[in-house]
Amino acid sequence: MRDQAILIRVLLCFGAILPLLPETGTAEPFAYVSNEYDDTVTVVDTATDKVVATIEVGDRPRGIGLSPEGKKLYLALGNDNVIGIVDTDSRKMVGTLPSGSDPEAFALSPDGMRLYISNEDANTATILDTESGQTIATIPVGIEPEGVAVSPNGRWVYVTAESTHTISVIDTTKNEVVNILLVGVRPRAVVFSSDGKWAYVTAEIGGIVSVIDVEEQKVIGEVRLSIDGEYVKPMGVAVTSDGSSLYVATGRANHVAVVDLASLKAVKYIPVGKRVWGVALTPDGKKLYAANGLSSNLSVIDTLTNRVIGTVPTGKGPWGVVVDK
Amino acid sequence: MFDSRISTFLVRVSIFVTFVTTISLSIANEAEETETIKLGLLLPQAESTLLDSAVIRGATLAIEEANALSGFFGKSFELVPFSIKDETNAMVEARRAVEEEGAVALIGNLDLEEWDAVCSVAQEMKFILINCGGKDALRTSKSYRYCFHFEAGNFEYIRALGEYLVGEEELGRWVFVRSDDREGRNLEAILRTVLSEVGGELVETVSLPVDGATGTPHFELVRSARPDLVLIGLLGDEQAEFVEYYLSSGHSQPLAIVDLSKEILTRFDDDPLEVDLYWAENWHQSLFRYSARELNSRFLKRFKVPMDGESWVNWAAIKFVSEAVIRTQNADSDSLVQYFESQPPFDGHKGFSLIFELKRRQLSHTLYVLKQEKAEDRYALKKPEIVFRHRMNSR
Repeated sequence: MRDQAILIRVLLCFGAILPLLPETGTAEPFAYVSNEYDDTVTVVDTATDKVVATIEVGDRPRGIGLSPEGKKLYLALGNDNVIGIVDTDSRKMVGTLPSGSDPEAFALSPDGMRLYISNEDANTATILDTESGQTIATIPVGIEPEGVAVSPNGRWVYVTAESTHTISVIDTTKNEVVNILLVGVRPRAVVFSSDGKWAYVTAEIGGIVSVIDVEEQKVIGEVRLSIDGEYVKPMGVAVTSDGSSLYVATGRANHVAVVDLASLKAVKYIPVGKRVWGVALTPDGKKLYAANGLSSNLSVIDTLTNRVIGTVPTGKGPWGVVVDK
Repeated sequence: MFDSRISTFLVRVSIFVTFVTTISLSIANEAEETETIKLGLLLPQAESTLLDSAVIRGATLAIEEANALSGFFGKSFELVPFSIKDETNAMVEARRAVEEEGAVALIGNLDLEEWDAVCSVAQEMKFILINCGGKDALRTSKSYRYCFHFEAGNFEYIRALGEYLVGEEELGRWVFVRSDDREGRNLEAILRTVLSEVGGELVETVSLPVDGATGTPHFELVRSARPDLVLIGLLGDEQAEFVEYYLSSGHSQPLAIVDLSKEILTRFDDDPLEVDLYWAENWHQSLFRYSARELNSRFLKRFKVPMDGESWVNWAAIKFVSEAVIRTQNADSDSLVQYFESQPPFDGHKGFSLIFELKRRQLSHTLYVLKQEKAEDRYALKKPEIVFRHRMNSR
């Protein structure tokens, strides 16, 4: 009985001081948003959809990604020409990696050891060792490379090229381009399904999402997106972990498209904020966050009902969003 | 048939294409053997010796970019220039380009007689002909299945100026200065149509003899009309001469120019403008959004000079044709025409999908109205700025 009383007192005491503790790394997944125009990252607690921190980073953060264990946040700092590293526990910038000029997008290997960066001005992709910061390879890709994604098994890296409408397929066992796939006009973002069988590429001017069979290395279909008969400009993209649905940001069309991947049809267009760009799902897939660049906020979408259930203020010009695991 | 400098250029292009193709193949280690597709560039004889002309720069960049990855798609592209001097010669060179050189498409800025002549050959021999010039008469002549326009006609340029200057700046009363010839009369007809559409008024037309007399009586006409704006439809030396006279005679109304001579802006580098000056372009080095910054950057890096409208339209024409060949995996002209007619989205770095207006076979894109603001003193001289975007066929 006495032990129980002590335990209760300790728990009560801990409960009393808990709200006073700084809100750093806790059990809830956090969403991180890169704010292009005020050089910050907004941190959102996905349990409460409240902003818990704003981190000062370098000049013009856009591309954003987390290390596998969620301890490091990487940011493409376009005007600083580096990849910034934020420690997610202390929420401080702790270092940079070289990136080549004007980095915009990148992807991490599943083991977190490699960073694949698109260099838009140089028409190359740079492969970095995240530990040493050394450049492992610089690979010619298409013209105006932008979106980058790594397959779940780490074997393939896809790099979009906006001006040549291509995907450069990099084999990571050779670190060279082994194939080039023609996709929709002005491809922007690319994502792999969680089983690694499919990849989806948004095409801004083409108004479509190209579907790639990864094993065959072939484009096998496309999804056309339009609202009231007007083509939209597909941008950021996220796929559900069960591979059933795709969420596509439509830029200045101010909607997120929901695509049924069985039928390859858009089944719903969810109105969100202005110039929606980056999108990311929570690990349980129950919520989608969409960064509204001109509204300076995040739309929170319930993926069960596909409705907006909240709006979270961000810094100025939110661009990319990532949620930790 | 070629002069020696054209031959030199041809050799240089061939060497360069070989170089680029080699680079492409070096990364295309699993590529199959490539087929070379030849695209002909019809150059007026007077310009054909300008190896570094805006036309050739634009075309060259497009060829290089098409070849950057062409090894993977089994096609590579070669640019072949042809010098033409009149419609008869143009027909001969067009036939030679197709029969002897194997060109699948010809690109050029032709006058009406040359256009009709080469279009008739294109119909007979079935090859693609693309006009990169702005003459409206080409668009009102007979429509040809294999012939397409990439540059906007003068109507669209005048329309862009009218929409902005009447609609936005409320400069409604216009005087038009033109040459006393067919081209001048055509421009005046276009202007009357545009002003009636945008709510402006043509209060006076000053018609100058082609021999170039720009004396006092004409300026009195301008002065007495008390316009809000003077639009100049003259070209070349006559344009520069009129502007000089206009400024030196103390006029204060803003000027607009249908087809701005580059010499005009160069002249004001040293001597600031005393009136506001407006004109329209299909491209400008200050364009930033929709990856225009990236295209401008690539062009500047490659040629050490900024991209201008003439370069853009030739770049766009060759980019479109090469992409059509790669998408269809076919260089057959009927397949290419069908592809063009399917209105595929084309990315001209203008922020939306550029498609063909099928009836006139005209590519719809964006024109930009630029303003060179008058300066209080030479140290305050600003660079021209884009003040308006006119999307073709948006009315």
